[in-house]
Amino acid sequence: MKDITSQKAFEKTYQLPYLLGVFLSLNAVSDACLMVDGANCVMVKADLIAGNHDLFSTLLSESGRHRIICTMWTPVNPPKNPEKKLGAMLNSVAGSGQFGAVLLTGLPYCWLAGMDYDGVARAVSSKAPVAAIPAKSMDSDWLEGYDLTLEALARAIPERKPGKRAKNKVALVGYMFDRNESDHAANLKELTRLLRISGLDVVSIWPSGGTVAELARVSEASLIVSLPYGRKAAKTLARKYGCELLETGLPMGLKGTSSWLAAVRRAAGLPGALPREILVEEREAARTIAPALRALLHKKLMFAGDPYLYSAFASFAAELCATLPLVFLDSSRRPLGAGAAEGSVLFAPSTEDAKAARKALSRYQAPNLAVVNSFALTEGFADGLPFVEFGFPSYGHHCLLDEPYFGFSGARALASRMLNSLQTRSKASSSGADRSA
Amino acid sequence: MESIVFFGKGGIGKSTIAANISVLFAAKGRKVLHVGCDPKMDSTLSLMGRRIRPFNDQGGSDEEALRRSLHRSIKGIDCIEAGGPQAGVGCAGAGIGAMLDAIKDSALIEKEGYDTVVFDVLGDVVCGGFAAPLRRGFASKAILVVSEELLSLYAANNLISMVNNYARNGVFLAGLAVNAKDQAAVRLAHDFARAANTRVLGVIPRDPAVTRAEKARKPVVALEPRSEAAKSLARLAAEIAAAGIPSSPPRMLGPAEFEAFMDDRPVKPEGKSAGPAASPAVKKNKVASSALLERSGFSMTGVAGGQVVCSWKGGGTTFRLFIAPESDSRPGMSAIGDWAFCFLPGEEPPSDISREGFHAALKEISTLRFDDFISAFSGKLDFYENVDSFGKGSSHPLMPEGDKPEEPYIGFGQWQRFLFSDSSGICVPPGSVMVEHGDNECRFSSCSQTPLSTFQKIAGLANDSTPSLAPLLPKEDHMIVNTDFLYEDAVKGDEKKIAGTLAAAAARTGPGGLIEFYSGCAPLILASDVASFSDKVARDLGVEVLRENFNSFYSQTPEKVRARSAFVARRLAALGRVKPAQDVNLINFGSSREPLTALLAAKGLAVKDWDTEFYKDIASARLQVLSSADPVLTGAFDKLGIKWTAPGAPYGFAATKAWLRALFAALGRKSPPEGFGPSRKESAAHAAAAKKLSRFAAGFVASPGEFGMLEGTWAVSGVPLISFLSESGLALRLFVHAAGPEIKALARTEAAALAAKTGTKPRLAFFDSPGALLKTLAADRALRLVYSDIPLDPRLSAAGKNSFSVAVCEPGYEGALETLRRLAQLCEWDFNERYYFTKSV
Repeated sequence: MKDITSQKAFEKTYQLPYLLGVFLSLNAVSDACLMVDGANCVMVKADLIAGNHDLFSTLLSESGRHRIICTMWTPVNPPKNPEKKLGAMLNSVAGSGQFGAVLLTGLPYCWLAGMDYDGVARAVSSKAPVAAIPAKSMDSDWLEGYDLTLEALARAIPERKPGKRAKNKVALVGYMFDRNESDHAANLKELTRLLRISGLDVVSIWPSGGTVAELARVSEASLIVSLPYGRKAAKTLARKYGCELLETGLPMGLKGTSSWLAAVRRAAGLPGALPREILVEEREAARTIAPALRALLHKKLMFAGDPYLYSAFASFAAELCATLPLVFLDSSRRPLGAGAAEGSVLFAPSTEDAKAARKALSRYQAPNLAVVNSFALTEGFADGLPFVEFGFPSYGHHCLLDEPYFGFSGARALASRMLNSLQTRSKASSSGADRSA
Repeated sequence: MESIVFFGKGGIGKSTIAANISVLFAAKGRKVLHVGCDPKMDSTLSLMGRRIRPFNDQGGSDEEALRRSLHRSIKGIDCIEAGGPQAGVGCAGAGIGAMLDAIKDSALIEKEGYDTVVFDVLGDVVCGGFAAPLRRGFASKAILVVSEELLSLYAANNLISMVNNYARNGVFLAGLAVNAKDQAAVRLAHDFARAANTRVLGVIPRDPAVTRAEKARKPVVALEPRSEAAKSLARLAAEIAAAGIPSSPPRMLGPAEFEAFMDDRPVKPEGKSAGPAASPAVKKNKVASSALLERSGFSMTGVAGGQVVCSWKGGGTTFRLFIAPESDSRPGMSAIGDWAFCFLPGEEPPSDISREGFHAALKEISTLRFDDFISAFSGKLDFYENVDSFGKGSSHPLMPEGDKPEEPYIGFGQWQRFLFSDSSGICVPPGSVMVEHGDNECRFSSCSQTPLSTFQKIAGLANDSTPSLAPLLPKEDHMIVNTDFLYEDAVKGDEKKIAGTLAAAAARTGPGGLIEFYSGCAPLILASDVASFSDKVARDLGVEVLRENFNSFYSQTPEKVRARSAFVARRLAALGRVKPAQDVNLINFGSSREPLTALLAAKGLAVKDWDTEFYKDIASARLQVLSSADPVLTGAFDKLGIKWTAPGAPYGFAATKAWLRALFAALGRKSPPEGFGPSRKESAAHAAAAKKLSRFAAGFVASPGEFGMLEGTWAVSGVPLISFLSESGLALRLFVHAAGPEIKALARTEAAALAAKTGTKPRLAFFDSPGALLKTLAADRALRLVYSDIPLDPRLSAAGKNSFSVAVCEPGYEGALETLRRLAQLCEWDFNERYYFTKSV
């Protein structure tokens, strides 16, 4: 059931819909196609990703070869047997040979009409795997949509070819690859590099902007590292391929990264502690960050975004000796990590409630810096504060160059962004503007 | 694990039979889950001896809620009820679907290790929700409960069709369970079973023991195991356990057949359902279907509107036909098995010879099913080239029909679209409230365009040329609200939500205000009762409530124009008489307001400063100048005698001069001393820029139907684009996809009309494929600019050309000079030529 703080009429809530998560997942698999049963209004949601958030998205096409296709089924003029029609469309898309996988889901009203998407998808026989994503818009949020799309892909990819698997081969499943820009490319490069130094070979990352064939390499892994955005997919894959499964948080910050690497090594059955090289890197990263601590120490941070990123960021903030007195999460209520509950945490608040919560903070809890996504900015949660635009969506911050936020490089880059944001604000305010923020 | 689902007309004894079967299976040592799928919640009454709290009242849809709904009953049977709304509200089917989703998601059946799951489903199949156990692949054996009543057999006949439809999910009809009054009823059931190609599994006689058991809230097999009813139920349970997939599936009787059956006349199979349906267990060979079609002269050419388009070649002729599922057939179609066909208009067999040949070919393929056509079709054709618009059933994307710019998202595979629609300029009167009664997905079905949007149409007088850098969190205005229709609204009814939102909207718009209430698709499909609430709010709170549906959110329906116009008039009338202090009030001018205010001030007119007092601004000026003649405002102005004008948009020198002249005329003023034209300096700059641009050409890739839209229409945001470009010195080109001479002739006629209207001489060129267009564009050295509403359109970059759109156009004299500078800059810009030009063209 949806968890909404406010149910008053005329309140806009800070939460994102299920299908946006589905679209994000699709955006991260370059040759997957999604057929959405329903009217074309669903297509506009792609604009919240393509172009505005992801400069390299291929969801929409200038020549009309969109990777999202809608059936135009509306309640005004419904077909007598919509499943027949849907089956015809799906067969022609899946059989066209243009896609690595074809996924199917529907708008909420189609679900209400009782459409059997699983059955329709199963009835298609084609080279490309076809799978249905549950049409759960009415009681699930975007993070669930993201996970269930990965899970549908996990069900759809072929069974494993027989063969021996090396125990150092791992797959990361449930990474939030929300755009094909260099923040994520750099994250994946960093994690792959660090795991390699730790003696592990990454065979597949779910998802990473690549093709379905690249996802299918997950079958070579002995260990599946389940990241928070794809828990269900990871479970399905582990079951399907008989792999070990390790559930982790996100590798953010210095200690966070080291302990994550150590946990993965342990789960893969590699003996001994982390290689010295990793510990050297951790120390070097700490030395790089150290000068920034002068500005970051004791800072009060406001976070607005998704709960998994928040859990990881909260640990990093503690590492910087900063605190998070105010947190807005754009999802349904879900469990948070251990280090992530010290301040006031609001799930899917109304924009009015969010503003009121900030106003209610005492003088010494008032935030100095906002680490927030675009919607928090456009809704005025961070008005008057220096900010780092972070997470999905980031409409005002694009990465044409590497800018990781995971691993040791990510810790440096993120600390650098926070420092610069604070300093830019200081410079601006020294010429007469308010310095209090 | 075996799952059994009982269907049948309401009140026929399904729950009684289902509950007893559960007990009998449990007595055999099976672990049984009994699932009540009826909002009456009485399926588990005899097992539990009391009513249990249903799943839909647990305040959740997760495993926790599911487990809270589970109750252990006699013989260790676990019971669960879906529950549902009060009679007449909400959607019970949705509730059943949600419970089954929860069972599936939580893997409850596997985790608990049930051997048997018995589903007892509400009455007749009134919506897809009641087929949920079949749709979600839960059921393996379906049992139809019937009696001697006509309606029970009628329901059973319909249910056969449903079971066959879901055979793909592994369900099969095990047979009929007959709740019989007498031997005549038993005979009737047997006759029906024979006609429908199924069998009677068991007969339960009317027995007072059943009534006694119901009163005692106990299953009869437990209370009176030696009764006749209990013995019959035991036999039925054994038959159900033994039932396997039938060698051939059951068959739904056609309407005439059913009538004949009930009249005790001989039953002749009807053409429509005469074809033998394939058994779920027997799969046809796909290759064989394709080969059969090919051998008979049929080849699949596309899919349109859920129908297969195929051609037949034989007897020296070729013609095309639509093949649709029989269930979707329309008048004029002939049914064969589960499919129906008709010829494409004007493509009927021309001679007796070909007609005979066709009928012979048709006979050869008469055993095929609709799915065989789809299988034969799939994988052979480019999806995007053959399926463009699902809703319309029309057209290959290269065909010229539908000559109207559309949203870029609708036309899949419509690669030739370079011009998209512009929906700006619609007047939603300030102070009115728009309520979107829909789910969270509806709320996110709008996205403000930004400079990074993939498709953009940010241009024209009404637009803000410096739009928001980022999309906002929808809905973006405090006078627009989405009701966030939830699952629980669907199941329990949304009356409270509708009433609450309407009351809040009424408070916001105030007495005499206007509420536009848009029902989204989910409430529409559930037939939410908006009318009674809106009438009450309108009556009690003195507001007008306009009821619309999702289709009209962005459009001006006549009723909406009337209501909005009346609202504007009411608001203006309420202000009373105000003496106008200004000459002109510019309405809906976006970021054009500032340069045009400066232009008017330079010509001696006083323009009302913009503030948030929309209605007061109107009252304080002598003349209302509109960016377009919006019927909402013009209607209100005409009603109140307010002077207004909406001359052609002032883009380009000539148009600006005409615009100024029109404003002065409407005000009844003499022309300013320096005239309406540009300054000498501006004229000189224009001449120099136009000379520079005269070396270059700008082109449009358009269909003939779009030519006329390029000059001053909504499709180009009101900009007189052809005249403006021509005045700028650029030569003009029109590139047209033409498959045949008719299109070429049409293009020449339309181009001539455009030339006559604008005094220009656009040059026509034709192409027949995307590749040919690329070559044509690349070969034209003078051509530097090609119109596209897709910024930096890669299709044009590949030809080494630069795309431009109305977004480069600025109003007024100064704006025209800036536009010319931008065009010149683009003409000389070689980024695409250098880095994107595909040498192979």
